[in-house]
Amino acid sequence: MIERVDEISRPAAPQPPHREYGRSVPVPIQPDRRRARSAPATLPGGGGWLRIALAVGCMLTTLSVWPDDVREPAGLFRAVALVALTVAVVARPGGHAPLVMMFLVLAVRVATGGEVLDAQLVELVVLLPLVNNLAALAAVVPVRSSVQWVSLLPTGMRWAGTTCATVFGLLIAHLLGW
Amino acid sequence: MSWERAEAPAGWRATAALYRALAFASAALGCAVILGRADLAVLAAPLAIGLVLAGTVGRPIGALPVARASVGGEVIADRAVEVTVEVTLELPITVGVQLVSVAMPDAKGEPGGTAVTMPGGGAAVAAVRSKAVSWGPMVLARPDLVAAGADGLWRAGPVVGQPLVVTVLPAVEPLGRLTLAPLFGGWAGEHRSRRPGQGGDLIDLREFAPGDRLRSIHWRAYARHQRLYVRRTQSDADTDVVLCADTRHEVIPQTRPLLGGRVGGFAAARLRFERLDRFIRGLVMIEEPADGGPPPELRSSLDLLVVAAASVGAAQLRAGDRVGLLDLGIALRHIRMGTGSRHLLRLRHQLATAQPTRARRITRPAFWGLPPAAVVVFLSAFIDEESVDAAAEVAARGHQVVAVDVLPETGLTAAAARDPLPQAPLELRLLLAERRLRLDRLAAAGVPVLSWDRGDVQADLLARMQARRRHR
Repeated sequence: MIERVDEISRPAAPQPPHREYGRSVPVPIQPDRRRARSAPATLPGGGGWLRIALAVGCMLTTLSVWPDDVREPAGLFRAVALVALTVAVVARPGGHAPLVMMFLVLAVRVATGGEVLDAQLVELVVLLPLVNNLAALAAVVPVRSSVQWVSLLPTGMRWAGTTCATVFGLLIAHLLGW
Repeated sequence: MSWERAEAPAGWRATAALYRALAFASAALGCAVILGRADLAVLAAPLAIGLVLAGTVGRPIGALPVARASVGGEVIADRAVEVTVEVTLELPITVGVQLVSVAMPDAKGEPGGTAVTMPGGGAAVAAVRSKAVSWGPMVLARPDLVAAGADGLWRAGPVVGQPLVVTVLPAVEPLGRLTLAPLFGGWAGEHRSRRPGQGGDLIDLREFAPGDRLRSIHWRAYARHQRLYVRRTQSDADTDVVLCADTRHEVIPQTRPLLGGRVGGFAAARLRFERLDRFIRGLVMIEEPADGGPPPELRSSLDLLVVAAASVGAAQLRAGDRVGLLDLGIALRHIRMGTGSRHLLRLRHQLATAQPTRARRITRPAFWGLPPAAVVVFLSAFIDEESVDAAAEVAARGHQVVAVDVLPETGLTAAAARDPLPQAPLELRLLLAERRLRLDRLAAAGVPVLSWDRGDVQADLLARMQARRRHR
């Protein structure tokens, strides 16, 4: 390995650490503890992880409305459409694919679901806002970007709050006899 | 998101997410009312509540945040450097910004190769370690910026950032001073001379005379002969070293464009795989640039010339010589003789702005204004007769000349081996043989020719000097 030098090295008498002479490397008088303490937690490759989380969210949504019999033409069409939309959402989260996917899920729920509190309803209550929010964030965060957790915190708290409130309301309605 | 769409309007605008949430909530609620299905209303509820909560933050208003990149200290080629990007809020202060993504240079020196996403509520600072892959004026960072409102429902940018242009100094490789034949200039320095005087090399002993220093008395001779003798030594010498940089041409080791068919297909597939590999690695780790490290594979003759000139200049300045720079490609880019660390900085800054001038001719050495008895270090790729003739003429005018060959021969050979055309290595061998004849002619004129590409020019020059001494 080639070693490099930047300046003419001269033998110099050792200097006190708080003084600088010539082009020597400045020595801080005190360690900057404040900066080290306040360094924000960062997720390396956070843009990529956002897309992976979006892909997982889309796949879970797809699984929750997956057709019972894929061999039937309608079931096959639904399955193909869901998979294609999952790919499209991850590829272009800022496009129209998330909207189409959410409407497809709504249509499936209208067609196959009933007015009952079932597991699919709870799953969709959790997953649809998740897909919407992750797609919105992935559209503005570049793929090769490290992300400071604090910047995602407001969205996460809003999502958790709305989802918990809705699920809690569902459980109360169920307890009341709905 | 792509940074290439950096010409987008700078104002705040609603994103697809806002319309999507509105449309879905409206549709689900409509279906719930029309069909009398409460479960559909439940589906709409979290999105509607989320919209309301995001709406309490409000649409961002005010001026966009501004990102400025800076770097502390001097930037040196192939060495890690910390680039700091500061995001500040301009008046009127923007409110309602949730996050800001700023383009940052990556570990390989790409100005916008990566990004940092940080909260947008106030001023923030992000720092990354990058490196300048080459020398000369270049854009080290361009902090393009994207800002988003609550839940990404509003967006501004990408806004093109102010590029950070720095002059990257060429690296100086450690090199001992050149071993030169005895010189006649000066009275102090690291070189030998043929004159008697204050120095280290012993000539002989002579009898003590009034006025001689007591410290020069040879006490062992006194013990043997009972008479006082003093040492006679050769004087030390410094010299003027002129770095003559032939910047007329730049030889770059590169291959022809990819051919079609199977070869091109394989190469394109390999490129795609490398890109995918980079993406996957980028997800789980941050690539840190190494300090120093092996030089990049693709180095042109101008790269070698600049590094060689900076290294030789630093070595000779360290030895106490006066060093000047003469750019043979353009007349007005000379640096006069000087010495010291500041002069080395001056040399490196001048070398950092070197460019191939594509001139055909070199001015006659009679008009170069060389100091008498100056040592000339002639740096060139020697791809034409002009450079060889100029070096030989300088030697004929009585200067001590050392020719440093900066042709990247290893890179050229490797590039020829990778070339899709099978006859490329043969073509290169022919050209190199023709050049070898020129260099032999120069060596016959008494000029030692050292190859920077092969490395260790110091030992090479020492061997040649010893061989010349034996020959005499």
